[in-house]
Amino acid sequence: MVSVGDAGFAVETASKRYGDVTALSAVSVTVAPGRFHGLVGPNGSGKTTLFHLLSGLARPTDGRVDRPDAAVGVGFQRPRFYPDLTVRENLSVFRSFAADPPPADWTDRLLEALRLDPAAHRKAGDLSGGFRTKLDLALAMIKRPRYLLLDEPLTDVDDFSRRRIVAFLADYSGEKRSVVVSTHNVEAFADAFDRLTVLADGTVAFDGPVDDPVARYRAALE
Amino acid sequence: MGPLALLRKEAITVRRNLGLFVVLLVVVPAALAAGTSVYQQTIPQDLPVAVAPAEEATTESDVRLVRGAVGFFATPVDYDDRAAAVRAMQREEVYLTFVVPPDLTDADAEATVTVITDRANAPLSDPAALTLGLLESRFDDAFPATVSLEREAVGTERTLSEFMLPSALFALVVLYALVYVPYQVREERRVMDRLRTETRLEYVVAAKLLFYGLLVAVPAGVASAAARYYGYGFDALGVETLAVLGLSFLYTAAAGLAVLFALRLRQAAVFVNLGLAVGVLALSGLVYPVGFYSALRLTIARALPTHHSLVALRGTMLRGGSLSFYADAVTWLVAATGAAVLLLGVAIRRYDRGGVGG
Repeated sequence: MVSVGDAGFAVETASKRYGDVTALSAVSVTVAPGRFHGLVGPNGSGKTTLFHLLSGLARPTDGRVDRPDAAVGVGFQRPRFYPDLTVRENLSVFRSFAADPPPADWTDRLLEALRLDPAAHRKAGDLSGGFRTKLDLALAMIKRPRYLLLDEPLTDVDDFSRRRIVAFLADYSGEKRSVVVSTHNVEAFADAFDRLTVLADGTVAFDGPVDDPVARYRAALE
Repeated sequence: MGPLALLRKEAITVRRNLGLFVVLLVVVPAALAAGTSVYQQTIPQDLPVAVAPAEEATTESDVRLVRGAVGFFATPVDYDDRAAAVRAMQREEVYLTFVVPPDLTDADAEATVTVITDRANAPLSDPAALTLGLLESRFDDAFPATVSLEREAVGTERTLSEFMLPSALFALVVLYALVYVPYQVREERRVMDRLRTETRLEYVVAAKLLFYGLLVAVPAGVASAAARYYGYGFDALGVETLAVLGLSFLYTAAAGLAVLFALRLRQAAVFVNLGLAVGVLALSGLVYPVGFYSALRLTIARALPTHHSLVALRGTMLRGGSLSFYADAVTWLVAATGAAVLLLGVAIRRYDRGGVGG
């Protein structure tokens, strides 16, 4: 796994095996700057494994993964935070990891946009499922990264917050920033994805720009 | 749900956590049972003692007679002179010193063998007094000369309570470093994957070791306050004592964390570490001299860095000794620290390459 400046992510013929099980087979994908990229597929398709390769948490058995030098924020399917710290303390600790942290009002903006304000002073370990997911998302975004990798970022989140989060993420991605979302819920991001990678049985069934992500997803799986 | 269904559920739980149950119900009891095998006798038979000539006129035959006479309860170690033997006693290399006069082989001579004890070694005071009573008649019967024993003590007098304070403090540091710190890191296992994307796990663990290592000064302060309250006349806040405690914390915590990461933060690691803590505390000579129960226990204790920690800690707290005086023990601690940190680095690297946590 190597860093390649700010040219985005490049996965080249990457395979990942766990014993006798092949989770990914010769997958090639690029994540370019300025995209809202959907990494979609049914359960067991290999999208979470690919997500782990992109985030650097796993290494390919074969092939290679090139990562950008720019800041990358990662959101997890199972929220990852310090359970004994409050929401605001978690954000403060992870903000301090950034080499060049954004202004403090970015934290307040995240709390407001993700509707985390009511829980700001509660212990993270005591939060309900939806708030945990939103805290994990806030932690992924706390250093305002150039690349944002999110694995099922709407788990346990209520409908109203879902629409708000998708709109916020669509607004966040743009010319300079990319958002990659790994999900099986294509409909929730139908208005946001401008590029789609569809995985099925550990291989790429479709990869390219899309106007209608839901139709393209269904077509790729048929 | 009936009782059988509930029992079946527990059986499934055991199957799912087989590693944990094997550690808890097989490995730890086996280790404890094996540990009892080193307690082979209830009176000392292998106590390391020093034998040194009193003066140049003392012959090898005189020394050999004393060596033979003390063999029923001790393992004699030769030293060139009394001063070297006393230094070795204050480093707990030996626990008594026999100073051998000349003319033990002369039937017409009257000779006095001097037995030196360390006043700081409180647990040995009563057994030593009893043993010396037996020894006096044994020496007189065995040697051609008329022999008497003279007891002499060196160092500051310490009561058993005073002697126990460094041991208690050390036991606490071992439990804190080997059990609590890994437990605390495991409690944060859910955040490990995020930390891996933000920084290096080595930095995370180094910060833990630094933070919790500095906190060792707190129990040292509490022990010092207790010592002041009871009028013991020593404390645990001297730079040299804190250095021994700090190094001891570092290698035990690093070893405990190495076990934790090697077992991928599983619950079983906490029980393995608890077993290790019980084992090293039982075998390190926490209270009694290491040759007291068996020669095997002596060998095991001296192979454990925790024993050398105890020697250095008692030395700096009870005897006011310098680290340079306990250089051999400190070398053990430094080597143990290096080895444990190396193991920890390997365990973290393997954990990091092993994919995503649960």
